[in-house]
Amino acid sequence: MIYRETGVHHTTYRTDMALFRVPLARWSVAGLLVVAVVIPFFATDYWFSAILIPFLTFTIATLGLNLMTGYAGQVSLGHAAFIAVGGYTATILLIYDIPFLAAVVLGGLMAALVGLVFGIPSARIKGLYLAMATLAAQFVLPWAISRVVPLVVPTGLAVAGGDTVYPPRPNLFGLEIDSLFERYFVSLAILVVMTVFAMNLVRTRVGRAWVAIRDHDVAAKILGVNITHYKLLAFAIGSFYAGVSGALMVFFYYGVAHVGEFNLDLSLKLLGAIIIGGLGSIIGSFFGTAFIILLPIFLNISLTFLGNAAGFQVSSGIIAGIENIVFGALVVVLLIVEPLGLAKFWQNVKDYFRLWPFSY
Amino acid sequence: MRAKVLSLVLLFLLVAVAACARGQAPAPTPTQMAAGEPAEEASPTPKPPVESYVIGFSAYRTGPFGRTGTPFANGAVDMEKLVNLKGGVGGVPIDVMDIETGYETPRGVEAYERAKATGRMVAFIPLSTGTTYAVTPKAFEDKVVVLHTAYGISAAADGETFPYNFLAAPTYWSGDAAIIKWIQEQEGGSLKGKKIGILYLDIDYGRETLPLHEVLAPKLGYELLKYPIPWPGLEQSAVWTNIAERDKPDWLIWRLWGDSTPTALREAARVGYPMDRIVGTYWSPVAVDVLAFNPEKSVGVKHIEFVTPGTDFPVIQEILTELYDKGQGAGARDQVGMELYNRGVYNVGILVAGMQIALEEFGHPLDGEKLAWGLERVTPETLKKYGMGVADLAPEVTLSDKDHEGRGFVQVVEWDGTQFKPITDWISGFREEVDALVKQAAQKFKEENPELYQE
Repeated sequence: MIYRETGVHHTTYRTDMALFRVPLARWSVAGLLVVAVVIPFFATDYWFSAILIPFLTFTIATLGLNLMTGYAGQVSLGHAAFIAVGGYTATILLIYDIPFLAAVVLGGLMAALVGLVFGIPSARIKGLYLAMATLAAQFVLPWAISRVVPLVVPTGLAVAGGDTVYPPRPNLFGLEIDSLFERYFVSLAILVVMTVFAMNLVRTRVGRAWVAIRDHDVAAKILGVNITHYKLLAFAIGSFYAGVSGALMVFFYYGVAHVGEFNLDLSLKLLGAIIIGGLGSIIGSFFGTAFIILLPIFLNISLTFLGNAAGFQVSSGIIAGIENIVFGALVVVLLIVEPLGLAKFWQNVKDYFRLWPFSY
Repeated sequence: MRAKVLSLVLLFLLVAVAACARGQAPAPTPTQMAAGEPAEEASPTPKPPVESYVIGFSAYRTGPFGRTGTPFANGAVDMEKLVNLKGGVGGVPIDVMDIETGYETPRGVEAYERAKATGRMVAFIPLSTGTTYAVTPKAFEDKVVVLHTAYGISAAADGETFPYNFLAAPTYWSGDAAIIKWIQEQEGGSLKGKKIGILYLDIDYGRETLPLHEVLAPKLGYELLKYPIPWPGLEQSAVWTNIAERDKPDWLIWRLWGDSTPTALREAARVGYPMDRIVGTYWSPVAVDVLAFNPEKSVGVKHIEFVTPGTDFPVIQEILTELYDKGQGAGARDQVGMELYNRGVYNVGILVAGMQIALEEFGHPLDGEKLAWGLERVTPETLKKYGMGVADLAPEVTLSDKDHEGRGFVQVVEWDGTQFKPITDWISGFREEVDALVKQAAQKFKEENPELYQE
């Protein structure tokens, strides 16, 4: 009853091809956007720096990985390295006075180029073998960054390392993006654009080709899909998203380009995020990021709170242990209850309310 | 069944969200704080004027570096309890908010923000290079002391460039300079023709002292041999073959961290490199690394220290009698007195000393800016008077508004089979070369971040 298509008739191609075909879906998305716009007026520094901005920036990276792995089926263990390439490229460009938006886009393009190169093996191998090939990116790129960056950046924090760079403060059309409030809105705007692009992309010829390749590449080839072309495209676009998110992470979240942040751990986390969120689902990328990035923080805070409420002075070591156990258990329970991820869970909720309160 | 599991999960999430909301609700925003302060000051109350002074602390007892993070965190928490048993800072208890981060920078940033949200944070201990980088610009804005003892940003030794960053311990450059000085003494005053190898993780931390050695090597006449190990350093056999078969360096300086250190100890034992020719930096090899490898086979291995290890100090004895004998200790008793444990004690102790000095001048309430003022007045004498016993652990620290390093004295400590014992007095060396590097790095930081210096 609440969420149903009955009575919604599409009489023109335009409405039929709309992103959200049901009025309720449109309203809820509009409502969500309103919430996203209103939240910062009430948010404290903590919410901005620890919850909102990391969520926005990491989600862009997750979206990219979901396009690459969830839609096109190209497993990548080198996503964090592509994020690093984007982050560093944008930082360096900003130092050389390239405007902020151009630096972000060029950072994304650089990451896309690098992703394309590391995607070449995908023409020959797939699955676990491809994962191993992309793992190379995770080892080669940080090494290369730590060698190249000191050469192109005249500054650099450690005299020796030289690969830790504080970016100048970005400004958008003459307006300095300084406060957390502004950082949030710029990240939000970029995330919305990237999301809409991704939602549209997956229903075009490209997206359908990706799904065909993921589901059965031989069959896709027989149908006339140029597999190599679309696989490389998946790497390029996925890495572009990674690069943009890297630029935003460096500018708005960390405030510093430090190659140590973009490690294998982050790659694995992002991969976990799309699996838990839902492979091949845009909204799943959002759920997955929240689960991987935010849930541990919620667990930590709530366990500390529960411990104090019960009157114990609980050591952070015990809390850390419980946090890991609960988080691990949640991952296992979730994947047993719903192997298709949180996105499928959300779909189930919607399906339930489609008929509610009459289950027929 | 399915519905039950789901509802349980949902219930848990609800509780979590509610808890977070509760946890966040009383946190005043900085503007509220600023507005509320004068009123609180004006009304004289018998209660402590401030609920507590918060020291944010990104602890890690889990994750890839949990083994090394645990003794440090226990030391900091135990010292907090001891300070509060003795009446805190002028009657106000200190609150070391040890938040588990697993050595991840995003969690470290979250810990900083969570401590900041209390509105009472005066200092933050990042205990990770990445977190130090990320919170330093924030600290400029929030005027909160960031204490990174012998890690993080070495350029922060320049107190004029970094008003809120304190090392209160020697930089990596001071450390390696002191090592070279000590080796020179062992070799009878001359390093001509000697081979000194540097075994380092090939990340910024590992490479940091190479410029110093490139200056010192031609001057003193030793041959510098570089042995980079790719992060995370769990595969080192090729490097060790070079060390043992080809180069045979007279001395080896280690710049490793975490699991790469036991690996290196194992490799050194395998190729038969003499343990007593290994001198590590502050973070490798520490006692937990040696214990993770083999305490007997590691006899003779050395590293440098800015805090004396051991339990023969009144402050450590007090922790043992007041806390551990009553079952209130934060961790295992046998870790008390390890160098990492004592560093945790020292971290909290020096902050308390800074707070007490500031308290005499300003009175309650204290903030980060006043604490920084107090820390800049830490000398061996004031530390003895206000440091609640940590002066015994690091008797040579002298901070000033120009010098946030404390003159860079270190001790060489040696593993005797059961513990690390100091074998030298407090030493330092080649201050000119070190100071030049600090100046250069600080200048670069200043050029890179002009917006931090706009008033």
